[in-house]
Amino acid sequence: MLGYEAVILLLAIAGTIAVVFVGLSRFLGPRNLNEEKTTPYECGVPPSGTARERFPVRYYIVAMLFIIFDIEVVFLYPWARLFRELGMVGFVEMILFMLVLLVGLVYAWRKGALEWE
Amino acid sequence: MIPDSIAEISASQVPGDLMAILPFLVAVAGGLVVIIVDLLMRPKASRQALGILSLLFLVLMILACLVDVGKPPEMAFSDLVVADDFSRFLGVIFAVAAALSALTAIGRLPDEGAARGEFYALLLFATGGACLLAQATDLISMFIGLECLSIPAYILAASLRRDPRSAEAGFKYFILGAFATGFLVYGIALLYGAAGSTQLKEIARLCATQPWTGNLMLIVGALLVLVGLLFKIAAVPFHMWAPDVYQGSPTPATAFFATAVKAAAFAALLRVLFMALPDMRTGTAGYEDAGWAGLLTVIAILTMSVANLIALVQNDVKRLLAYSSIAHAGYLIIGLLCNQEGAAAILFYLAAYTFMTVGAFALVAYFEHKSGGTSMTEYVGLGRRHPVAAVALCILLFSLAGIPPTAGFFSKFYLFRAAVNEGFIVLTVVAVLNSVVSAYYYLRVTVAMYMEDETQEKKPAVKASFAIALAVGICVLFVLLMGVHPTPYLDAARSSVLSLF
Amino acid sequence: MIPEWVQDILTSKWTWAALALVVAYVLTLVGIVVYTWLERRGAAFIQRRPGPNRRGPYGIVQAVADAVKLATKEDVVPAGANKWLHAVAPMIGMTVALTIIAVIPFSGDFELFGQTFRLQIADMNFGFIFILAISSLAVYGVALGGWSSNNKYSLLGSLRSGAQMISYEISLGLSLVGVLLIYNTVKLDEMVIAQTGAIWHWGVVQAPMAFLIFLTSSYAEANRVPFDLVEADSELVAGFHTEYSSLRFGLFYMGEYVHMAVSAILTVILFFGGWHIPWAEEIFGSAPYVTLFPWLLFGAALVCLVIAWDTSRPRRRVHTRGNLLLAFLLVCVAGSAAALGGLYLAGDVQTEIPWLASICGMLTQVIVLVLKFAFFFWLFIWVRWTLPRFRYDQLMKLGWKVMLPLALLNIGVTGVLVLLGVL
Repeated sequence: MLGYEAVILLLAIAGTIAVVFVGLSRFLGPRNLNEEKTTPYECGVPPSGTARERFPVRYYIVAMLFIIFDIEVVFLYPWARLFRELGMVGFVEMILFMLVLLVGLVYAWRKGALEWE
Repeated sequence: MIPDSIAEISASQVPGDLMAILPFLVAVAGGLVVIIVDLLMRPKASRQALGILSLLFLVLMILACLVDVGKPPEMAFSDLVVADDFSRFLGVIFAVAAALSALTAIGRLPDEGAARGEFYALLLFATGGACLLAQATDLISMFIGLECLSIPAYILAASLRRDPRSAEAGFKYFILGAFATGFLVYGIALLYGAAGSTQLKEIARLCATQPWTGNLMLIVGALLVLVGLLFKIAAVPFHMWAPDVYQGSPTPATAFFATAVKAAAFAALLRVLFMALPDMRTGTAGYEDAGWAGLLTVIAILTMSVANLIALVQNDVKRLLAYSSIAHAGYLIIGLLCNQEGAAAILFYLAAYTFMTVGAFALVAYFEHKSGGTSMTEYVGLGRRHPVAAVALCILLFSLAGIPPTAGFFSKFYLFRAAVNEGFIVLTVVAVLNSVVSAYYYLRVTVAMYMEDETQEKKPAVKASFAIALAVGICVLFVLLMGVHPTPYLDAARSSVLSLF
Repeated sequence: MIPEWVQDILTSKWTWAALALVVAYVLTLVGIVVYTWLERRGAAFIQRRPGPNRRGPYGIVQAVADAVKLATKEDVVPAGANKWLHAVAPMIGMTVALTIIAVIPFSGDFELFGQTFRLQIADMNFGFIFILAISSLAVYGVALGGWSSNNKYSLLGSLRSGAQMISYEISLGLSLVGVLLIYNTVKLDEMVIAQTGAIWHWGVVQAPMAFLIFLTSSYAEANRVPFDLVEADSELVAGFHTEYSSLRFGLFYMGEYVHMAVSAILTVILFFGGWHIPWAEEIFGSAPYVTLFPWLLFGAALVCLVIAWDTSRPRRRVHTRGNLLLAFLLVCVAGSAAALGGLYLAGDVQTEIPWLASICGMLTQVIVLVLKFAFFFWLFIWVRWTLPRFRYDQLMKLGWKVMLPLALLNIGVTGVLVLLGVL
């Protein structure tokens, strides 16, 4: 068992494998590109307009909700780890914390932030 | 492994800790209840009931502050917060400011499209944050309180969703506020680096035991914290955001920003300056002007003068009141220089200022109805069309100008007396001159209401609103009460600041 | 006595880290050959058709042929694409999945010459948190891949799958809070140790709801059916990797399998006792895995013999030479495995050569883990060819309105049960 250095090592190995794979097809595959080939594939129809478009704001809302609840999760981990030591008081406190966030979820729910279509 | 004792300590102390931040808890619980009730209501239904619900919680909050008045300071949450008379006094101010803003919102918002439950919930959350800020005895809890206060405030500023000026106000407030928060946090980090603790009293101990003049980390940290807080009170040169934000926000929110947010930032300033950095007030021998006293003198003079001069040329009453609130921040900074007497004067001033400013903004919101305009021309002839409201506005404006027998007179009087007693003669003279200047633009509104001829076609009278009438009535009542018989309020302010020193 | 240099090698932490690395890479990277084959044969089995059966015994060489084909395809980068990000995006998912395995323990502690080792690459005291931290990076690969392609379908696909992955990541994280409540540790090896003994010590019995949420969320995280809207071919061509070809596409494809493999291992570790056999100590004595090793060898020999018998049967009335060779090799393997097992039993390795015994015990644990892992990998395939695909609004509704409240409820209920002393 190594320590933290193993993570760097593993990242390096995994990264190398990935780079080699991407590089490999450069050597093994043919290279004769033409305009038709490099046109973005939109079901055989010539692409109209740019693809760097604005996209629905719902995705931003999902991202914001994600951040809120992900941070909740981050707060829950240390609490869960020390749950037995903290006992009843810790439990009640965290339930209150979760209830506050649950109000947030209910709020987002009722306001239609979770509706698609 | 953690020792078993942690669990035991937390278990035994939790109820006491929670009691210490009871006003905060009441406000936050109120916000949550408002949100839940809002969700249970039909989407199209009027949200005035939510305003009344939030008023209920604000009254509870005032009671929570008042029941403990006179009790000795009580530390809680491992000395992160304290419940003392200072925080209780300010808690009442915040709750009153929020309640009066909520009343204005009840009367005003149904017409504005911002009539959603969120307004009241955010108001309550911000009030809770202000309470926490006033209770903080640690830079970390101070920061949390400030953020609890600021973030709902940013949303409140932008709550008129269809109005581009409101969006601009919210955006400006958010960007610049976040910037100021950055300064504050950086300052906190440096102070922590210098003192090895974020406790205000630990920082004070450091300043007392060794000369601060050579400690660059301490100086820069203190400066950055001051910058962050001065931004919140909109002192020159950190005032640029205030006029736009105050003008663009829905008027009830503006009333809250101008009073509760400002009062909360002053509470934090008082705590930081008197509890953490009292020894940095003046420099060592030969550098007497080097401390924060010198710095704040300059800022006070700048704030008063710049704000009053710019206010002279304003033609929009809401914007004029925004500059007036910047100018008042300038007067209030004088109090920071005058120790105990000055701190008491600040508290008295904040109380009086809350009533006059919220009242004035409530009337602006009232006249804004239908016409939607806040420019001076809209006020022409109001003396005939709305005699009672015009008289009320006159009284509030006189009070803001400091004309007796109103609360504004005594608040300035106590402040300047404290300054003279401390020997700040020049500063006092400048402040008095500024008051004279300010009288001009306050009187301009009065002149417009009573003495200018109506050139335009006759405007319809504004529909009466009981909620706004109640808010304005309370404001005028207290402005006159504190102007005629100020002693009990001043005594309360005096006893409240004892725990700071 | 064994020579000192052998002992040095055996007591070096690098040896065991390297062996763990080998196990990890065999299970993830090399395993892809088996997984793709398994996927196609499994699909065929479920759909009652033969599937790939021409190249090699049971068609297993087909997967290699596919890989070679992919590698020799032309690497097309669409015009207007962000070339740099287009190249980096497929690497991210793969790299992330291959980094997570650093903290996965493949065996319990074993003792060699007075020192304790474990088949784990990195022994970090927050292994559990590390997994969550690293795995959430995978969404970057999808998001960047779709965005950089300069294709509207790719962009939509990546937005969809990005939103999907982050939505289900919350349920995943919350379900693991329930697990933490029970195990009271953030180290994966301690979690496995907590599941020793009776089968009701397993996570799946103690926290069944957490298990269900975890399993569902990990399917969604891996963009697998029934959550494979990313590549809803009728709507979005191939989703975020529409514009990928050659081995860049291959990397996305392989990344998905690596991700599935890691999810399956985690499921076993967190909920199914890791390398443990229930009641092992009660049945097989104080060192159950050391005792079990020869029997495992006999079992392996038996399996080899069965496969040898099956492959040596004439196909279409013809004995192919390759199959006969394989059958012969398998018989040899079976013979040596059986012989080794016999020697192990006869020589009383446990008392005579304790270091060899503990290595054998470790190997047993790895094999138990791999067998459990195989089931959960098969489950991925099983589900894929059984369930229909969700519609996007159904998917988000399930994630936010069902899974999230359920996960929160699970935490509350688990907390109460722990407080009452039930768990």
